[in-house]
Amino acid sequence: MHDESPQLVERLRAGEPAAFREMVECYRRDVYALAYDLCGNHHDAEDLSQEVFIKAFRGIGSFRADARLGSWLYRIAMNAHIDNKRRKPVQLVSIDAHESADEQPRERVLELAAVDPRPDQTAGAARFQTDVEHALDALSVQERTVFVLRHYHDMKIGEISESLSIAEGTVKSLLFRSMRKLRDRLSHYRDEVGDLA
Amino acid sequence: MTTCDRCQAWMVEALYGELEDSRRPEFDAHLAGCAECTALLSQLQTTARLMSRRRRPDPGPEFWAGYQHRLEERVAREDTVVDSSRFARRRSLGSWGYRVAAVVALLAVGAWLGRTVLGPSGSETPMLATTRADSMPREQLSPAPVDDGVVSEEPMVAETNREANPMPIDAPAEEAPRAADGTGESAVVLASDEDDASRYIRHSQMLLLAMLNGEPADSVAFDAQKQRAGELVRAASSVREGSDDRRVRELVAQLELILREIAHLEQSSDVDAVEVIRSRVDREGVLLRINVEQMRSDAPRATSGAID
Repeated sequence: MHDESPQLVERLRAGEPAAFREMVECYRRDVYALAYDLCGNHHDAEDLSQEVFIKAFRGIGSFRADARLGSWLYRIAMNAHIDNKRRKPVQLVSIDAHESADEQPRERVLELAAVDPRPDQTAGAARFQTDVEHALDALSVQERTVFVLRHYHDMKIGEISESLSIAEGTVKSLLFRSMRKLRDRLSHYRDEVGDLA
Repeated sequence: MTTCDRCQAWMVEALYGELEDSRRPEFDAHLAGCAECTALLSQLQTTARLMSRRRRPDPGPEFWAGYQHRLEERVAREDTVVDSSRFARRRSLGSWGYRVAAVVALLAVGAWLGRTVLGPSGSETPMLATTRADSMPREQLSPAPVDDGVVSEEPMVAETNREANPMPIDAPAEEAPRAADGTGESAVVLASDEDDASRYIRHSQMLLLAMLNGEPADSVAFDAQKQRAGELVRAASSVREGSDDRRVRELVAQLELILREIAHLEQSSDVDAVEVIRSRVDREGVLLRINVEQMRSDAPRATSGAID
């Protein structure tokens, strides 16, 4: 996360369009990354990240001066995501359909995975990526949110608790549950970890 | 809690280096003597390493180059939608207001006819009572400060006047007009037979309108809104129990849930939570249900007013 200047917040409060663009420029990658971790696909991640900036711009008046802009944007993202999930009915998709649901980012993952110089590992890396995403998809919204915040965004348990307005004990319990679910889902990769660690 | 349970409760903290130093000796001592917990910790460490191998795809330079533009397009699109929905809401409230005005006018004509044609020649009892039939405890529905931009306890005529002189919905409430006879009583006694449920629904409606149509509130107004919502939540069960009408009870229950969310909002930073409440009110058509309920309850009142 970036260190925002107090002037930026002031200019945002004053409704300066240039300040809004500056905020987006500063935080779009972080917010998109969180959105991707929460949603698991490119389309929803872009949608959520835009929603975050729009809400932030409209609600900048309620931003506490002592808070960090980045943390505030994260918080909006988490709550917007949880709310979106509540609103959207659960969609039942076949296992095959999962592969093509977000084709473009998966292709990019393949490109990134192709950086590996050993061709025999390329297909395995792509399969691993898919399996990891499926394992994350198997978590509940709360479990996934807590897990990605702690694991990929380096938020402390106390910070997550504060941001989501839930007890620290609940955060620990969600984190523990998500880790065990991921362990079960990825159990067939455990032997490979020795080489990768 | 067994020692294994305690150990597992600390496991995620240990995994992410957040275990307090004071707990570390007990945690390590338990692991040293418990193969099961040691194996579990090892599995979770492996899982954490596996999850760290996950790659997050970069959407590419084209995506980032157009991001700002797409966002601004969306803002413009949503602003248009919000403007038109607010306009539609105001128009619908306007139309409801005209209906109320018609009911009030009908009541006034009925009262005049009653006084001049059917009433006794003396002046022992005014045809329209000048006291409010407030059976709801005052502490539960006490008026909010007039200048807080939230809600003030307005009589119905204030709404009618507002229709005659249209004002923004989120404008501060006007002071209630007083009777011309100098009694100091509310001039709008036509609402005196308003029952607890109707009053509860009206207060909730005013709070929701003030909160949802206004800009992000300042902290004073925000506190007053929260306090008001809390008062209404506390009054909800008695209102529900006092109503024989199933639809009214359901509406009060629905309002109670929303008001409870408002009452539990955190201080100013909860803009996203306010958005959640706003979308819930829209999604569930709460304001529309209130309008329908008010029209239902107004109809018999108009009739009884004319007969009286």
